[in-house]
Amino acid sequence: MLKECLKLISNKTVKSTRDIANRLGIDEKYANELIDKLVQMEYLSRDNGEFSCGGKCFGCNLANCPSNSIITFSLTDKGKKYLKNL
Amino acid sequence: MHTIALVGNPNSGKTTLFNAITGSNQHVGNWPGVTVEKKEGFFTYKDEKYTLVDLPGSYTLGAFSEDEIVARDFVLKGNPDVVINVIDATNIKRNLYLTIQLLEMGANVVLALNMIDEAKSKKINIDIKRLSERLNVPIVETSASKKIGVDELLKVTVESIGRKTKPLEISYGKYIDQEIVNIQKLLENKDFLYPKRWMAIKILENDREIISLVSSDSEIKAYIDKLREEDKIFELDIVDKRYDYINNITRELIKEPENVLTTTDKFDKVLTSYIFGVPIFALIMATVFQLTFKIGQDFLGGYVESFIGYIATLVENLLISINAPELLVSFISEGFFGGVGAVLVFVPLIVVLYFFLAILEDTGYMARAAYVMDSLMRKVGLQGKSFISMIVGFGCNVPGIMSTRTLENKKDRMIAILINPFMSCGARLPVYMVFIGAFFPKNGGIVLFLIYALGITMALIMAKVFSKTLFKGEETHFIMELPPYRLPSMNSVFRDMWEKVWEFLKRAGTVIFLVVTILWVLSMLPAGVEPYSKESLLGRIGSFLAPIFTPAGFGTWQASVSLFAGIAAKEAIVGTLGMLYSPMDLTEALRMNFTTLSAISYMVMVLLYTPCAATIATVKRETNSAKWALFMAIYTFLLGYIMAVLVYQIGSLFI
Repeated sequence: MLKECLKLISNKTVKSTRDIANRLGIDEKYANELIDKLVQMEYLSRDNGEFSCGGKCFGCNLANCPSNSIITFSLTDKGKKYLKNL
Repeated sequence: MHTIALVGNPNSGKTTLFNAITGSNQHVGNWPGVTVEKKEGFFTYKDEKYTLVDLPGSYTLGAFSEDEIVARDFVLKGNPDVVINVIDATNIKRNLYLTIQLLEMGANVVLALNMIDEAKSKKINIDIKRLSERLNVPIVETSASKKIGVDELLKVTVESIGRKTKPLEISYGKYIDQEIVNIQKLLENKDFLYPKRWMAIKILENDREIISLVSSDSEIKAYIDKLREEDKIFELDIVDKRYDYINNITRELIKEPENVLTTTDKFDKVLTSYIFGVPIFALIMATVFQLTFKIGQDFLGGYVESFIGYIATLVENLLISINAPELLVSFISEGFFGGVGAVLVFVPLIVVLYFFLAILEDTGYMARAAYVMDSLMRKVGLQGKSFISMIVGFGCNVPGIMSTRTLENKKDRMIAILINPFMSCGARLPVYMVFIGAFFPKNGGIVLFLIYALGITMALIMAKVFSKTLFKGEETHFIMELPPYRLPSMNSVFRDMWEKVWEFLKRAGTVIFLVVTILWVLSMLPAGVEPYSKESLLGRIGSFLAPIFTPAGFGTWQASVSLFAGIAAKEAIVGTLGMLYSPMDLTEALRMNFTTLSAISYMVMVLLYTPCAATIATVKRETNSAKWALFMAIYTFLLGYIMAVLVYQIGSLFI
């Protein structure tokens, strides 16, 4: 399942964990678990969509750097290398 | 004294069970050499005292964290007599992954099937007897929070002390099994404390801790190096096999109710649908703009305008009554209230627009917007994640550009930076609103929506152009997590909204005030000239620039000057126009100096042309290149100009 999951992400045929669940015929909870596992094994990286500008930036009066609250998972170099060798 | 270890996934109820068993008879310390908390307690069963060690919560027994290493080292080297594996019965498949690893280690396991009451209420049916037989471990149903099954668990645990166990041997497929045997042979007669087969599997799983341990042996190290050279890393295959093993067992023995569609699922079926996703997003945004216009402009705007007008008259009368110098009266009434006041009138709009955008964000809809836009973004050579920086850009392009830092790929990042200024920031809103108020009072929401839509469209077109010309490169592969929908928290909505409003107010009081002051001085010089006239310094500069904009339909010196003031800050456009046409009502003045068509082309220019100085400075800093900052300033100006001319010239054929 983990390999299939990586392949789906690499083929760009899925856009969310729900898509993965649908494509693999598993429930979303399980798909999330697979993604967590792949993150833990460093095949995917988790991006919480937060960025820090290290304090006040010229021209920006926002009190805090905005967070877009959209979490994404991207293939890491390790993930790409693994898929390349498949 | 016998030692019992307690292991389990985080949130499996392990600590609750630990407290239920030991009561207050426990103490907390640290595991040697690490910062992981060590909890140890004691209990008495049938007059015999036992030590219970609460190991750190962990999903696996790999070497990914200190917690995992502490837990597995204790199981393997601490020689506990029994390992109680606490399992969340409502999430049994996930929890069994840890169990399988414990069994592979050869631990003497007792399963505490915790939260069993919740599992039953969720209609999760577990054939405990057969599961116990398949795993070859005793299983006890518990509900630690209600202290159900705790006595039975202690009884079974104590009875299990001394139980002979054999490590579980899963077949990982012919090839991997052979490699396990090969490594096991190399490990034979070597002085390692861990079980050899388990070590062999861990080496093939690329377990850093074990590999580091065995690397002291040159023969094993050479073998591992050979495997690596041949790219023989089997960690995914091994984990997959473990999951297969679990699925084979649970398929027959655990029956869960069919997936029932949650409210989020039902909403998403429509909102993220391939066909309706984008149109619904457009409809939602159009509604937001319509509401912004209706509430912010028609309803609240009038009150603020009257209030600022009232204060302006009051201050002006006060200054006249104390015989203040004429120049000061002129500056305050025409410069300050005519300029900065013209910008402040739009505070209600900013409040309403960002209130609705914050609601969309807080409900979880913005993640769906990025999801539905993803296909479109990929078609233009971008990834959906770039849409996130575009959404941030709707507030202000500075943080919009900063947020591209989350894009790992340089190509994606450069494109996302260069197209961000087409996302119409809050500072440009007053410009649209004043023109909409003058020329499209009945269709404000739609016109505003079309302006924003044009910005997105131009951003996508330019992204395509850049990805085909300047920034060719590989694409990033990624997926998104769609959070469940939730009711917006008013705290968070108001905080988000307030940040945008505060930004707007601060800019009005600082940058806009400064720009208006400089322009006011220029409009008064040289001495003796009629203020705000074509003969003033400002008028002469504007008149010099005006012919450039004649093909776009707004070749007046006031329009030209305001556009250049807008490069300092976009709100300054309205501030400048307000001051230059003062004391005339700005709406009336615009109707006299613009036609409907030239108003449209002017708004298109404002939408697309050179972003503000802060944005250009941010581009320089983020790209570490003055060249890109200059490129951004020039290409956007040219694009804005060409589009404005096209709108005006083509429009002139029909109007």
